[in-house]
Order: sequence, then structure tokens, then C-alpha cells
Amino acid sequence: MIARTQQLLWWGWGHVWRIIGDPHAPPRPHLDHAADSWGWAAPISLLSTLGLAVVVLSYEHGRHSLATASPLHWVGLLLIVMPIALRLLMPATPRRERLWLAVLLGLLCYLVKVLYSPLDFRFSDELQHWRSTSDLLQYQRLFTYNHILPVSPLYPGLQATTVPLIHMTGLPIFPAGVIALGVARLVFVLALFHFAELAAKSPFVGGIAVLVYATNPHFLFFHSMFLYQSMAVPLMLVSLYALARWEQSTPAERPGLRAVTIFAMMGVVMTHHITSYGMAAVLLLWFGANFYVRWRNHARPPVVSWLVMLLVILILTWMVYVATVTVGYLAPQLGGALLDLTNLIAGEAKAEETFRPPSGPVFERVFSLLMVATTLGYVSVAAPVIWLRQQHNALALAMGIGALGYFLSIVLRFSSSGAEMTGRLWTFVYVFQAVALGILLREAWLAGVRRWLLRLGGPLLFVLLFIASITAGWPPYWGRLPGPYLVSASERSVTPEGIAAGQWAAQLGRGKRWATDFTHYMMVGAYGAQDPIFNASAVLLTPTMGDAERDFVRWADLDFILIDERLSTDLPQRGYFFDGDDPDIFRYTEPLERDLLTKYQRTPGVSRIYDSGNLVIYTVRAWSNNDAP
Amino acid sequence: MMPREDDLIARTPWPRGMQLGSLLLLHVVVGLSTAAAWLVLHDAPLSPLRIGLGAIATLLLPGYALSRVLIAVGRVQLAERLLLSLSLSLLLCMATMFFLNWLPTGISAYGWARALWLGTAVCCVLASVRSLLPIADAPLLLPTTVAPPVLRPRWYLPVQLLCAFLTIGLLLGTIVLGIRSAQQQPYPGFTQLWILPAPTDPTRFEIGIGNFEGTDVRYRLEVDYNDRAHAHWSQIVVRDTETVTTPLRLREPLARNEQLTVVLYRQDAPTQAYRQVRIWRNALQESDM
Repeated sequence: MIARTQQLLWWGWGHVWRIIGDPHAPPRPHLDHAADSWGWAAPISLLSTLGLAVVVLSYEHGRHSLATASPLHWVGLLLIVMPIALRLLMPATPRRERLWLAVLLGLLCYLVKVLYSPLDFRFSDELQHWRSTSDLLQYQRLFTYNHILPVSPLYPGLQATTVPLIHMTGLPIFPAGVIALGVARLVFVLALFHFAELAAKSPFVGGIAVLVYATNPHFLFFHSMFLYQSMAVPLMLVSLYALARWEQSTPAERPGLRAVTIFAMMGVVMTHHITSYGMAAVLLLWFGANFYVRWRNHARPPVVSWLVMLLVILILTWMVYVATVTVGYLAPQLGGALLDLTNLIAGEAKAEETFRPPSGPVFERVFSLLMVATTLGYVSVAAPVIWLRQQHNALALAMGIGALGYFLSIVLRFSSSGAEMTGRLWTFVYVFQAVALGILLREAWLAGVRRWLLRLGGPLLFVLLFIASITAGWPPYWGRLPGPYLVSASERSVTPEGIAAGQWAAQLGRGKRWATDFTHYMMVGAYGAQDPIFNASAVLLTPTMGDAERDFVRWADLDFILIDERLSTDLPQRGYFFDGDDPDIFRYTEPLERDLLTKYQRTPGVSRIYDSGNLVIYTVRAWSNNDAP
Repeated sequence: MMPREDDLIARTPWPRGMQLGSLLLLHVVVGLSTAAAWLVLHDAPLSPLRIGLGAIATLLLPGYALSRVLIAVGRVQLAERLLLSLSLSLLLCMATMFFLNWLPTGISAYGWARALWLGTAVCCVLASVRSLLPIADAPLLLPTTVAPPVLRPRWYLPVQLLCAFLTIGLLLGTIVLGIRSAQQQPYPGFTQLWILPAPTDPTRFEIGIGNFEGTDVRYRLEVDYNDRAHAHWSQIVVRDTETVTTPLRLREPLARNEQLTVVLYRQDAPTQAYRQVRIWRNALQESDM
């Protein structure tokens, strides 16, 4: 069966070769020489840093609502990436220069996110982890309760690296978090470069791998945010790098590398749940490939087998003894996605019921679709090429097979929680893809594919993928630049007025129950140390405050309602005003009526205790207990 | 499988100078770590020195020392050593946190300073012992098959240096510009007005005004008790970014149908209510759940 498949693949490859192969190609180019040179590193660094300056200029224009902001933003981003991509794609670039450019790319992309909001954390996920960090500083104990993300304090790896920095330097949480994650980004790039280099035994592939990973839609912003995944993924790559190094090292180095592998693995388990499961999947695939190579070539037995078992034991131990809530946190998303897919396959649901197509300007949607098509294309080519050409390299085989996981991620996109599931999966699939595309390009150079095709096609491919990674990633088009307040627009809804309200709420005492919109949920939850709730439409979207609302307030044990009166001024950018049970989610055609938002002040017994113009806080407990008229 | 890049590995004995240099480096690591811990234990104020020393004593030095224990000098390249140092520092911080959490003193600044210093120092001692041991028979990672030197034009080095300096300057300038841009982002100013009952005495209240208008503002405050004027303050000047509070006392607690209304006016629009709050009795009732 395998032999037959290989025959078929060789036959197909022969036909493709007639088109792309160059019969007059010179002998093997110097792709992997270890020349000790900086090459063009300094001028390229200058150009790319200029790109960052243009991005910052676009942020400045965005803050003043100038029309030039968006074009400048695109120019700046392309200026960061293109010089580095061109140089990394060249076959003769020295290894030292490749490594430096890969590091530069990672750090500049990180600064793009940091300089978006260089004074405080604005993204909702960041605020959730801000609360965990703040609680740890206050209580000086692990595993405190964080209402806005209960699972966060149970995976304290991020806090474990930020809190010592706060204590040792005296810095507040924000700058300490930025420094800790900057170090994590550096670790990520170095580990990915070395891992890919070891997988393919080629620095060319190392550089390309970092370049390809930068086209992951979550790389620019999401993986730079102050959240546990941003710390866990670099540690996962450290573990994989050390394992790859261990497999290929001399006996004298093995004990040390073994310790690093296991130590990093433990770090991943206590830092982020999904990353530890993703790592188990990567190791399992690697083990499978190793087993196949062993079976085929009678090589030495695989070393990753017991590591997979160790990792699974660590994950289960952590889950059972520390983070039991993880199951309740993840199961609904995963179960819902699987149920949606099962219903789709069985014909019991239609794709348009669960699939939410990308929104935004037409050109952005076209680029997003092109990215999917292009990625599916190169993955489909890379996997068989690696299968044919890397039969003795288990790690390369695992990367090739794993890259096909992109197909699975696209299938998951058709479920109702598809966008989130796909994003989570891409974190790991892009590691495979990055190495696989690197190996594919290397094979293309070595095999003598027409040079003009590689010199033109490579950069074009990366321009397309990079632009698409931004159009398909977070933030969406309306939040890509900082600027004035937008209604229900996540980070673009965060204003000093909202932050001040959150900080004011802290004086009410910890852990009071609040109903509010998504943005201020995070404000009072993080800065105010309160316990806001989702699913409060029953009291937020009703025209009056009557018995049903009173029952709901009692049932939900609500203390306060925070209303942003600007919700009556525009449509919600996210598609809904209130998270959880908003009945008109993604169907709003007009803003909320002002009467809905001001009904509380017409209700006797509901006290209006805070007013800052746009934000008003009401107390409802006494009213619900009939302790007021 | 064959050892990695075997053709690049020389089976060379450990050079004496390299051994001494690596020992000296370990002493520097201990010195820097001690200085950082000393600053924390003596509650040194926030300064570039404390930030710089604290950052490397947390995110670089412990991992470097541990990496020297696990993998000897000469067996990994510089970039790999950096990777191991940073990642092992992050991992050591995690391990230290669990250790501190287990102690009755908890996760405090002094605990961190002592634990990180101790961890770094112990690792440095172990690494020193390791570097004094006889060299293993395994090869050191010293390149012998260096690629042929590339002939560069005379302007190559000056241009590289110029570009490097320009890059550093541009990067610093960009970061400063980015921070200043965010600080000067135009937002509409706002004023907070609030009223809170005292926790124990139902006749006492606190009224607060917070001014974030971007300029000093003159306000007038009126308090109505059941729609009748109860008290007022005129000419309240609140400086920008400041908050002021004032106590308010009633003769007796609010009855079931009674309310207290506070209206804030700006002096530049004296007839238009600017902010308004209203409180009924038991407004901050505690949950009995």
C-alpha cells in the first residue's frame, strides 16, 4: 500500500517536474554553508526598523482619525517583513545573518503589538490575566480565584515569570509583562529557528520556518498578548528543540538536554492547557514517524515514546490535582464544535447555520480566502515531497504529516465556535507548516527548479500570506489601528473613562456581582476585582424593570449594573452588545434604544450611585429584595 | 543516527584560556545576581540600575548558570546558549514560585530576591565544579571547516556599523514616539460624580467628584433630600486628575420611600445639570448568599 502510494507520487512528481524543473540548473547551491558572516544584516535591519517607524506613524494618524492611517499601516508592515523575507529566501544568505533576521522579524512584530497600546493592556484576554497577576501580588499565594477567567490562576506560568520581575525591578504589572513576553518572543524565535534547522539539518529551513510562522494570523497580535499561551508556546518549542538536539547529540550532551526537555515540558503543563495538549499531539506524531522510520530502516529505537507518556501523565496529574475546572472550560467549545460537524455531516444542519463568513472590506475577504487556498496548496505539495525525499528523517516526516492538520482546521471553521477553534489549532499546525514549507523550498532549490520561479514565486507567496495573515487575524479591520471609541469593539471600546470606572469599582469591595457590556465586564473584573456575569440580557435588554427582572436579579445575585449609554449611538462592531445570551447576536441593524439603557433611573428603589457622563452605575440588590420602593 | 553536523565538530581538548574565561564569567554572574538581590532587600527605589539588574537577575542569569551545569561550555553555540539561558530562567522562575508558595512567608519580594540569588549561586558553584572536572571524551563544538573568507569591499564594515547605529537610534526613537503618541491621544474629558453610603452608619454618606477633563474645573454641587434642597456647595475647584470627597450627614436614616439626589453643575454652564446621582436606602446591601 505504502509502496504503491509512493509510486503514484513519483509519477505525479515527474509530470510536475517537466513544468517547473530547469534542465540546465547549476549544481547544488550553497544553501546550508555555515559562513561566519553578517552579510546584509545591518542594512536590512535598518529598512525593517524603518517599517516599524511607519507603523507607529500610522498609529499616530489613527489616533487622530486621519485617512492616511490605514495605507501607512500596510506600507509599514510590508516594509518590516519584505526585506527580511527577500533575504531569508535567498540561497546564499549566511547562517548568522539568517538567525539575526529571524530574531529581528520576531521582535519587530512583537513591537508592532506593544506600540499599539504602549501604556496599558487593552485586549480583553490580557485584562483577564492582569487580574490573576494582580491577585497574586496582593495575596502572595498561588491559585487564587479569578472570576473573569477561573482557569487562569490554575496555570500560573505567565504570572510566575512576571511577578518576580515586578518584585526584582520594582516595575508595575504592564511594563514587567511587556519585558517578560519580549523575552518569551525571543525564546520562541530562537527555539523555532533551531528546531527547524535540526529537523531539516539546514539553516535555510530555520529562517524560512520563522518567516512562515510569522504568516500565522495569530502571530502579530494574539501571540504577543499578555496571556498564558504567549508564554507556553515558546516553552513548547524549547522542549521540542531540546528533544531534537538530544536525538542528534553525542552521549556527553544527552543528560543535560534530557533535563531541559523534561523541565520545559513541565513548564508547558503548568502554563497553558491547550498548549500542553498540542504538544502531546506533536510528540505523538513524532513518535509515530520515528516508529515508521525505525520499522523501515532498522534504525535505533525512538526516544520520544516514553516522553509522550510522561507528558500525558503530567497533563492528567495537573488536571486532576490542580486544574479540574479545565474540563468544564474546554468541553463546551470542543463538544459544540464536534456536535456541529457531526450534524453537518449527517445533514441535520446547514453550513450557513453554523459557519460565520469573514466580515470586512471585500479585498480583505479575498486575501483571507486566497490564504486558505494557497496554504492548502503548499501543504498538499509539501507533505508528499517530504514523504518522498526525507524517508530517513523522522522529524521531517512528522512535520510533513502534521502540516496536513491545516485541512482539519479548515473543517473546524464550519462549526459555530469555528473561528476560535481554528485559531487555537493554527498555533500548532503552523509549526508543522513552517518546517514543511521550509523543507519544500529547500528541496526546490536543491532539485533545480527554475530559478526565476523561486526568486519571484517565493517573495510573492510571502507577501500574499503575510497580508492575508493580517486580514484574517485579530484585531479585525475596525480595530487594527488605535483610535477614538467605537461601540462594542473590544480594545477600541477601552477608554480612560472605562478604566476609571473599573478602578473606582475597587472601593466597593472585591467580588460583587455585576451586569454590564463586554468591554466593561473586563474593566470592572480586572481593575475593580469584581465578579461580573455574562448572560444578563434578561435585565439589560428589557424595556422596563418589573417582576421578571426582579426575579432574575435575585437569581443571578446581582449587586450592580454598569451601563454605557454610548451603546445607543452606533451598531456593535463585534456584532453584539452583551456577551453570552444576546438574542440578536450578529443581527443588529440599529443601535440600542436609549430608553432601554436609561430605564433604571425611572425605577424607584434602583440607586444611581455613579455618573461619569457616558457610564452610569446602578445598585439593584435592595430593589430586588423589596427593601426599597 | 549520526551526530549532528559531525563535519563541523573538532575533537579538540578544552583550551585552558576558555576554561578560565568561563570560570570568570560565573563569578560575574554571581556578582550581578548579588547586587540585584541587595537592591531588593534594601528596598532601593525604582531606577534604571534596579530595573536593569533586576531584569537580568530574573530572566537571564539563573538560566545561564543552570545551563552551564547542564551543558558544558563549548558544546552549544552562542545563540543556543542564549536560548537555553532565557528559557531556563523562565522555567526556574516557575519552580521558584512553587517553592515560595509552599513556604509560610508566601510569594514576597524578599523571598524572590533570596531564592533567585540562592538558585543562581548554587548553579554557579556546580557549574564551576563541572568546568574543573576532566574533559569528557566527547567532542567540543568548535568549527574547523570554516567557509572560505568572503572578500568584502573596503566600505563594507563602515556601512554595516553606520546602519547598525542608525537602526538602534531609529528603534529607540520609534519606541519613544509610540509612547508619546499614546499619551497624547485625544479623548473626551469626563467628570466622575458618586455617592456612597457609609458602611456602618445609615445617616452618613460620601460624595465624590473626580476631574479628568484635562483642565482644572470649577463646579457647583446641590443635594436634594426628597426633592427638597438639603445642602449645596458652590465654587468647588477640582484640579485636573484629582478627586475630592465630602461627607454628608442626615439627621436620620432614609426611609423606604425617601431618596437623596446629588446634582453637579459646571460653573461655565450653571443651569445645565452636568452629572447626577441618586440613592435610596440600603443601596449597598450585602448579599446574604
